Amino acid sequence: MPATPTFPVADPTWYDTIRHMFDATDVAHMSKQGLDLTSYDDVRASAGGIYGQVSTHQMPPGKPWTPDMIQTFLNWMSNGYPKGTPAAVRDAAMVSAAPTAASRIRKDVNSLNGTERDKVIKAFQGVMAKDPSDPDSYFVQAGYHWLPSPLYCQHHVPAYNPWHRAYLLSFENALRSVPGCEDVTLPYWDITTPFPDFLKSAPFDAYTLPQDVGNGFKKGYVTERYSYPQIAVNLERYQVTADLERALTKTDWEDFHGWWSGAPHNTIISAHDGGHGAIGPTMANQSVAAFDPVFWFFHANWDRLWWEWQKSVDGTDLNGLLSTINRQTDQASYQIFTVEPLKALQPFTELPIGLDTVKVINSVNSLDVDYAPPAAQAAALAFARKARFALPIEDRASVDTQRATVTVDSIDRLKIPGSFEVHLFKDGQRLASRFLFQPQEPETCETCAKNGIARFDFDLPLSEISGGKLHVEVEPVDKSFVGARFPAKLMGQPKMSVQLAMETD
Amino acid sequence: MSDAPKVRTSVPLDRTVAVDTREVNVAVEGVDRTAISGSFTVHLLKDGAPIASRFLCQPTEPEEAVETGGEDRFARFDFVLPIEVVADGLLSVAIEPLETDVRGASSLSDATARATLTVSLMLQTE
Repeated sequence: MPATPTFPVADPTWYDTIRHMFDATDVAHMSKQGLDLTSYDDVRASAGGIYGQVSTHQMPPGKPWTPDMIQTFLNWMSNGYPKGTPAAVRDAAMVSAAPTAASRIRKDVNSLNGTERDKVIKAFQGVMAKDPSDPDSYFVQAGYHWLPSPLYCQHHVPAYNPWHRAYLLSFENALRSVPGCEDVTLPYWDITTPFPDFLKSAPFDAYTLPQDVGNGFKKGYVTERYSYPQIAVNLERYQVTADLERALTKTDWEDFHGWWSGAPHNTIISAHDGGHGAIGPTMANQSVAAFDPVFWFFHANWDRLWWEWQKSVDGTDLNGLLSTINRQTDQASYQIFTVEPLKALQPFTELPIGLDTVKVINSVNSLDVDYAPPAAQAAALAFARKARFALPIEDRASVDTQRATVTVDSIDRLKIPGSFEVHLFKDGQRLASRFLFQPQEPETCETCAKNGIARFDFDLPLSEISGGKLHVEVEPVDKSFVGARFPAKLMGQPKMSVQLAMETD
Repeated sequence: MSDAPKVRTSVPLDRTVAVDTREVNVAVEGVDRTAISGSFTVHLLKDGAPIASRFLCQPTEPEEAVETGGEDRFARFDFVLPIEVVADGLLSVAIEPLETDVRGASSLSDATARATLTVSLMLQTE
């Protein structure tokens, strides 16, 4: 819960003050009148009317705003409705170490004691030993991610984080079905640290398919990884740490994710995709990624990061989370939390676990899940200003002239079979690479088909792109189709530009 | 006299480019000129002061001059400036109609409803 500000506030912003002036009752009441008090855009657009109502000293009913609160709201209007940042500068140590009411505490895999390590090993061995038809078997649980059919894909869409949170709980429950493991929790791998030694040996080092799953993956297929030194090199190449740290500095939902609504594609979705591509042929292939046991420790970490971000922006309940979503320009995100049929997270809504987008928002209160701080505590990260490459001309913006972003846009990813890399070269030398994680046949994936155009953003110092010739190559993981360089003419009308990011309030 | 390299803000992906980091192209795109009666000026401002301006000459009733539903309804303005000119300040855009008394502020807001501001570096191809 945010600290209650001392009213009046001379320079209130949406994030630090205004959104907290409406409680759940106010939000529910005004929602029936067609006004969403969780929406910055709606409150800004209706600010005059809201001020008119509260300044009568009779609104909200039964608990009217004090004169100092009314003055605070007027100050916000007079100052141009600033969006700002949440009240406290984010302190990762304080946020992570706060007391929790949850009983399922997921720990950094490097922080487990001997007993905890033994129990995780026993649980994984137990689910792997179950018959493949058992709903709690490793085979069934891993198969929810893609193969075998039916296919559930929630990547590069607003439900990405909610779906994977439900998925992790489903898997953790399966682990708990193993006798003697009723209280086991799924540890996480802090991907900013080296690949954990614990995950380099059985039962975490590999998994063998007990039966065919399709797409050529037959019974007996053994999951594969790159060498561990190569994984470290790949994580650096795809800028995974830089992207996830950048994500944690964002205040808006769209910017934390970085795929839709014009948000630069260099935050949590980019980090996730790069992580998949860095680890190995199995993790890079959406068809079978979840069969590599590291998948679960890898994804527990992405869920931890989403939860850490939620706490930092006071987005741990529905209204708090909605207050970070731009309702007018990001309707798809808004609707997955507010429109009943769109809340479903299949198969987890229909399965006995019965989860949907709203039920997974509060990890502690709804799922009884929290995360212990990482063994290597991250430095505090301050919130950043909003960055965009195109702004409405009503806005005012500053331009960072020290850095530029090489943008590769309009790639029709549905034409590319499977995951792929995008490389930026200068004078023939590779400057940077990005990885996109997708199914082997993306055109058959309903979710992928809805957002088949991909964009990649390479954020670089200006000095790195000047004084030489730039070119871009797209390299598919599966080179059997056209080789190592996918022809530009086969992926729509992709183009390259170099833009300077503009920063706004 | 040798041919100058072709300069664009965006190129097909199969091209190799050199980037001019000395100048930027500030573009104002998507101004609905049919919502503005007569000619108008687009000003680029830094910290409230104009740093560049463009003028568009058109009839008092421009909707008669543009193709119905045509892309020429939406105007684009490019300001090529030394990069240091856009640094260290707040950029904004102002539109100034020549005939200020014909249509009001609501008309201007219609004109800019889908207009955007971008800052790009110029790409040189051969």
